[in-house]
Amino acid sequence: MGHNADYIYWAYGIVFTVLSIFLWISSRHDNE
Amino acid sequence: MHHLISPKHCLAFISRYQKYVSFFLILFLSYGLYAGLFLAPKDYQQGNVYRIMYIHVPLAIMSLVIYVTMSIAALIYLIWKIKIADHVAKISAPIGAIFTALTLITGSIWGKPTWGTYWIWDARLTSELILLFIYFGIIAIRSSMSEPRLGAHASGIVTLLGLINIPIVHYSVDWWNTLHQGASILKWGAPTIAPSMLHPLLSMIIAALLYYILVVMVRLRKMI
Repeated sequence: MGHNADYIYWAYGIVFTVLSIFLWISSRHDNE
Repeated sequence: MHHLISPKHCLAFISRYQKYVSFFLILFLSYGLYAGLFLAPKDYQQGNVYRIMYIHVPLAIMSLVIYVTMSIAALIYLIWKIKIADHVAKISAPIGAIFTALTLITGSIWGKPTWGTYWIWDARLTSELILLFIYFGIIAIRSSMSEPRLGAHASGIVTLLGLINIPIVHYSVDWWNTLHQGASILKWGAPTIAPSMLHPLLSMIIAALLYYILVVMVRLRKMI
């Protein structure tokens, strides 16, 4: 992906990590 | 549709449809990622870095869609006092805030190689940042109230007031001279993007929408 590949990895890495953690927290979350 | 406001029916609805939402989420996400990262051609100016678009644009669109959904839910709660509507509004705020933050982060990562800077006080970027602060405000005002009913009311009103920022975010690229590009998909007339690049993008937008619906279902299940 050339010298710009790092930017793509960072963007996808951050998004998928955050969204996976959030979904995981939501599924365990005991509200009210 | 109105029977969904009864908690029992709502719960039955979620139990029935959650698996379909998860299935289609995986389907659209897989196609979108594969087609976006491997099948779509290189951009003639940006090379491969434009592929950040496949996560940035869906997140950005959803940051606005979630806000509008949250406003409708808040309005329904304020008028008819339907509790489930308030639950939806309450659940939507943190998801919207995360989507907005990720929009800003991915945009800024994309900005460095294409614009030469991570951040600029451009109208689109600034209004999106304001959207993030509005989401924070809505979350904060709800938790600052000692009584849940009062929190629901106050955050509902703030949500509706903040709605003014949504057209500003969307039309900022037309109203002001921005570094950020104009609309390519959500505008009158045909999209100005090649079909081979557009299809994975649409797939990712649907995946982002399904992710939001899934989180609402998962959280709503525990609240009612």
